[in-house]
Amino acid sequence: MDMKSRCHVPQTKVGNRRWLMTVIILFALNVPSPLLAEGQHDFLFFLSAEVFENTSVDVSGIESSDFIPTADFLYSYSGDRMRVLGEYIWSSTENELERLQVGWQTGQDTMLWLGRFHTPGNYWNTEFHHGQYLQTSISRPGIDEWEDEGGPLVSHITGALFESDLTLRQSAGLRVAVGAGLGPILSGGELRPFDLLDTSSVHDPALGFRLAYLPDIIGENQVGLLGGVGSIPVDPGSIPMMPALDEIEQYHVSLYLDWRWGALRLISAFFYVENDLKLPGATVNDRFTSGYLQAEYQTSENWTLFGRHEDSDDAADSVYLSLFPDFVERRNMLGVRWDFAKRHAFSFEFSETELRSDSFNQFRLQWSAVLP
Amino acid sequence: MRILSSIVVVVLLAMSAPPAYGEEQVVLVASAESPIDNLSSLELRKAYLGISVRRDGDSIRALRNMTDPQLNQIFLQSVMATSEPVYERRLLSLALKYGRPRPPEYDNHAAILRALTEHPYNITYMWKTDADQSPNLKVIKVLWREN
Repeated sequence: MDMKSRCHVPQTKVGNRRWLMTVIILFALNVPSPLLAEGQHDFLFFLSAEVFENTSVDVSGIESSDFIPTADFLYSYSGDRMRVLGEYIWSSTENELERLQVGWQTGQDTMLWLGRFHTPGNYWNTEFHHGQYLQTSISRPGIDEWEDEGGPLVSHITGALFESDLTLRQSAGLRVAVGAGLGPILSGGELRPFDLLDTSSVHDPALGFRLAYLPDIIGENQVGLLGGVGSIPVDPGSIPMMPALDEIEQYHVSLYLDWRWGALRLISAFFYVENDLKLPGATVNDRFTSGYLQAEYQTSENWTLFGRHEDSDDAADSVYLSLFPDFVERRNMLGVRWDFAKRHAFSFEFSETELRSDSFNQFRLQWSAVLP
Repeated sequence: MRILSSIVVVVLLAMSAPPAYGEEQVVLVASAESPIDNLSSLELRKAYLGISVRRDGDSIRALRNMTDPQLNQIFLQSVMATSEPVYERRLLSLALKYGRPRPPEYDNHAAILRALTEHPYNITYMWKTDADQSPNLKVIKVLWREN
């Protein structure tokens, strides 16, 4: 969130979003269709308010301080076999329909979704989505940053998502997820996913997948392989430093782990990313690696210490990453979280961050909660 | 003769006295018309995480019995093998990730009995003494027994 600049949403889109939010809420409250009458509705509001301050020198293009209130509204409907899931986020920096999925349970542990979803080719984003309260740290790793926050990888796909759990022996199992559809375009220095409220822009296919092993298929510990492939069209003329850039083909694979040993939790991922930048008569190929390890230790029922180390290799030489000057190449972060009342938390973290050409120190303070 | 009489009196008293310990049970119940005969531990945990468990094409719906804090603690420890905060976070996480419904909560005994009889695939847990007093219920299995 530190990298974000103010997002200026056209008034027509703001109108569309308000209209859509109204429809979703009315739909959720009334549900006149007999198809939905037997199901269960659920509402969750993930709220947060964050302040941050850079304690070192000012960095060009980076806000030195800000206050960011955020409300993430989640609605879900679960019927006999049908499921609906919608997530809408509003904050002082964005206003977006993040997910809108309609799912059909095709087997005991198999779902087929249609709509806009977070790609399974990214663990952090599909573990925490925009539910800040469930994420122990305030910040997220740079490689897992959202598209509109300067993230270099695909976060959202609009199309079909297949998810299935396969039980092995006893309670162990494999979790498979494959999502395919329309990916983002590169425009104005950031990836922009397909917007359900503005279907006029041109998007190309993208695919994300995940294969996870869980020692307990309904537990949380898991280790796995994930990845993605896609073609990212470039909005003509939107990249001044490479005006002829037409398209980017991107591939990534990642190994990840999310494991708990008593009070200790480790979340780690290691990415290999390759990009082919298509220029008239030439293709520029580059590759880089990036990874992180986050440790969380619950010292008591209400207190958690956490820290994260992020690092990357060949990032400084990557032509593709030069298009994302706010990409975090290295970061060391330490923090503490205090859970209080029912589903409220205060978190504090301090980090040393290195970008391609700048570095800075930063502290953050955040309140987060979930209602009801 | 006096010794024999004393022994008889002591035995009779022992037989008529309430048990000192070991009789409290928590049972899994459904309506008397429910076709559910058994649920494995894994299926029960799945149901209480909002994960789909089906019988004869119908979804089993788990209801949380919040009428008694001690009963809730026993359910969390012996069925879900977790604590209340961890269970709550898990439910929130599954709702956020997959839109899985959180089990509805009931803090009124009459309301949970009504909910059970509304649908044959609704299940919940309760003290066995409460289940025995409800002719419209059937016990599927014993979940916990006081030692």
